[in-house]
Amino acid sequence: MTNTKRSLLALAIVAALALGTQIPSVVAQQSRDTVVFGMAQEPDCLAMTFCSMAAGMAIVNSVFADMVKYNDKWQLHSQTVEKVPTLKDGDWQLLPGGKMKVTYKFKKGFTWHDGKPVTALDASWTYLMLRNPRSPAITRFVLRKIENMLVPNPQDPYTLVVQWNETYPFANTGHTVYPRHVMEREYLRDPAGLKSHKQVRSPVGSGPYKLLEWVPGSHITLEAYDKFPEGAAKIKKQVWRFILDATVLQANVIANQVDATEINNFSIDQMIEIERRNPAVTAHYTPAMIWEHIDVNVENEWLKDKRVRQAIAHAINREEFSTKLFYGKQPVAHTWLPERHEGFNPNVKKYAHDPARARTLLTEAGFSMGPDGFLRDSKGARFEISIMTTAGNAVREQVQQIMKEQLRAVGIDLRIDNRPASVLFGTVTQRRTFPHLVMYAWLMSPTTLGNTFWHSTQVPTPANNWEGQNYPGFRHAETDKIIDQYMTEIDATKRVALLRKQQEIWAEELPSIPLYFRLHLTTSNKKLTNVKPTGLSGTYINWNSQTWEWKQ
Amino acid sequence: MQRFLARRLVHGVIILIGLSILMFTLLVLTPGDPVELMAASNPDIRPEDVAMLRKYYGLDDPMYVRYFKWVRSVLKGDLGYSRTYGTPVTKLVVDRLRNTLTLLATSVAVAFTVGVTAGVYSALHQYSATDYVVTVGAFAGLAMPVFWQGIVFILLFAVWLPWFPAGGMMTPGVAPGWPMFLDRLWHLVLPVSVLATSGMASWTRYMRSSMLEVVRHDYVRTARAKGNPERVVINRHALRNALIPIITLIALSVPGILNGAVLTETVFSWPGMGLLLFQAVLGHDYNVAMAVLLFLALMTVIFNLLADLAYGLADPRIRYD
Repeated sequence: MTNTKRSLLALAIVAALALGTQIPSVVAQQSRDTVVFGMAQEPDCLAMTFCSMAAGMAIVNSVFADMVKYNDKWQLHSQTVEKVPTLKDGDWQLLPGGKMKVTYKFKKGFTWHDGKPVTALDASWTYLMLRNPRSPAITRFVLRKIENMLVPNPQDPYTLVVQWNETYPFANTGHTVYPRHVMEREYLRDPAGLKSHKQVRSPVGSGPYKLLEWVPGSHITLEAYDKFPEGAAKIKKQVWRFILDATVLQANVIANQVDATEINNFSIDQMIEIERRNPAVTAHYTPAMIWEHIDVNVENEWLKDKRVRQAIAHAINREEFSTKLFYGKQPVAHTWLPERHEGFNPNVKKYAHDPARARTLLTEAGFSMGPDGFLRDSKGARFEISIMTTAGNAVREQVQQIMKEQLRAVGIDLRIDNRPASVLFGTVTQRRTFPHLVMYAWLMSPTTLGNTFWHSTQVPTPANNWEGQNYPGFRHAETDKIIDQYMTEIDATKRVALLRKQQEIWAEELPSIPLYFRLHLTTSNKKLTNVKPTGLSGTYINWNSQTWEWKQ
Repeated sequence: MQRFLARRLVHGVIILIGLSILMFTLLVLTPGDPVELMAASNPDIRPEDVAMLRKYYGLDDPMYVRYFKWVRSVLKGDLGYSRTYGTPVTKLVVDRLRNTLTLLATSVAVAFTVGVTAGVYSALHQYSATDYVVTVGAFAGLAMPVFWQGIVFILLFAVWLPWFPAGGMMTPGVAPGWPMFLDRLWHLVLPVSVLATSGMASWTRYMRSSMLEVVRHDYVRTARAKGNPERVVINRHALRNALIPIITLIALSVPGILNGAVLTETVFSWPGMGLLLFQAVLGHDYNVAMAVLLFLALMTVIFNLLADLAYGLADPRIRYD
């Protein structure tokens, strides 16, 4: 190679490197009027009554305004309506026969992104559309409690009256509203066809951001809606990038290639690593309503005795999980309701790590120690039980390994038998095919009352077509009575008292072993102001993103 | 030749039909379905909702009925509708195919150029320090799993040395034209490096062996004896003959690289067919998964046929019967 050729090659390499290093700085400059979110999921759609992925809900938080929504203090506040209805103010009325009437006044000024006003007529049409069995709504749980949604005065399209055919304690939490003028024609032609309506993937929303583009497999770009009545968003664009692998998403956060993350599948270890490696990032550890626990099959010959269930709880060192696996950040659970739920009872029976007490309880239950160091029941059968969980979930698999050793110390042989998530939740829990223990989490909200978890009618069986989520098979007459009472109790004080009573019974009976409450883990760039994650499923980090700003 | 081609095409069609039955059965037998996934994530879904949704998505039909419905629809040129993406599968696959082909073509080009050059150099400098370095590098390239290598490259070149993006295909909002072109190139570097590695490594080894065998032949010695310059001896006489087995090898390797793209695209969030397949299988989006799997099977059949044909074209001693 001649000297000239060598010089040209060197020049080309230097130029390419210089150009390459310029691109990230261009991107960084662009991002000052943009916030880039990273998510480990891509939404299936953006019409959340037709689909179910949390990723869709997160983007919907930016694209749609709600009638009523939760803030970071978990308080309800009104958005497209003038106020949250209350019994005290009379816009929530109890009627004879257990019925109710709730009145909302829509604010004037909220418009759909095509400029048409958001009115009560949209809400009432949406109700009728979703009630139609031919529309592809994935659940009608709340809708079935509603008799009708009316706009009583044609001259006043901003007043909505919701007539309930039963009492429901959370009747003032608002309803889904879609733009009638966009969807009605297709609905009248074919209600089932709404699943492929453009509103599903390219919605006309009413929130602070409107959809600009969705590049499947890559990202969604949103643009600030300048007519948003609460004030146009201060950051002009939001880009939601889909990075399905949590490790790769973590690398993006460390490399400052995303500004915030949501639904990121990060573990606490990964969050700590992010904080350590990139001081420009705030790692948010937000208390949430995610209850990690082990359901016990209470119909099993050994486990139907509550002393055995209590012994297992005493044998497991849950404090150690919290301190060693989660650096003390995820609190131990003693009941099924998290601390921030209105009905949380801090005074339930607690099961401290006490192997001696566990052994005593097991002896009382008729077990005796065998020659191999494992217990035998009265018929001589070795006390060997299995635990199932979602295969590939590193944290749960670690917990299982520690549990195995801790139960071995009291003479119980724990066998690990995991399944992929789709099998665990598709068959194992719903069909109750786990012989002894199954570990997973429930994601709850302030409106969760546990009726589907603990009422005896909610034990899935072939006879009830596998209805319900009482997977342990817990049947307790007094619990049923209390649940029936609080499910229709509007008075919050009375409802809380009943919930607390239910938890006292629950902690004594222990149909599940409570492990810990998981945190909602998100990250954001420190230069982004007013970021306030809520820790609530359905209300994501961007719930107030119209108020975010880049600090100079 | 024509009889050979016709026979291979018939074989190809039979293989594709067999594979489609096998793939459909395996997908349907995979535990869980889209409705179960919805029900598992939403405590408010009631059994009657589940029954309604099953009917809506046609999941209540027996498996063979669903397969024949799918075949009938495919024969009409309709690959169905994606439950996850809410769009016709044909459109979805065509969009993603473009991205995968960009990745694939660039990777094959890089792997071929580097692999052949390194192989030839290594053969011509057998037992030199460079030969040992190339050989060790080739074995390392063959041994590294794509997924692991992807993560390592991200850590090295996106986190520690922030030279390249840690994933994705584009910077949203970048201006069209020259900046967009550069941006795409910038995003291609890491996934192409990973995807090209194993092809590069194996082609280096094959090229080295092939070249070593060819340079010992009489016609190469004759070419040298005629007084041809070494460049002409190597390029015109040795390399052309040494490339014959490599051509067929490339054709046979393309389906493998395409399969490697499934992992590479997943690691680098590259919106191609591989990532689409991964998401479709996780989300039980049967129509999409079937379309992508069938495409991969079709590519395997086509490239195997092309390998056979190319071998005949490159080597006149081969006769089709």
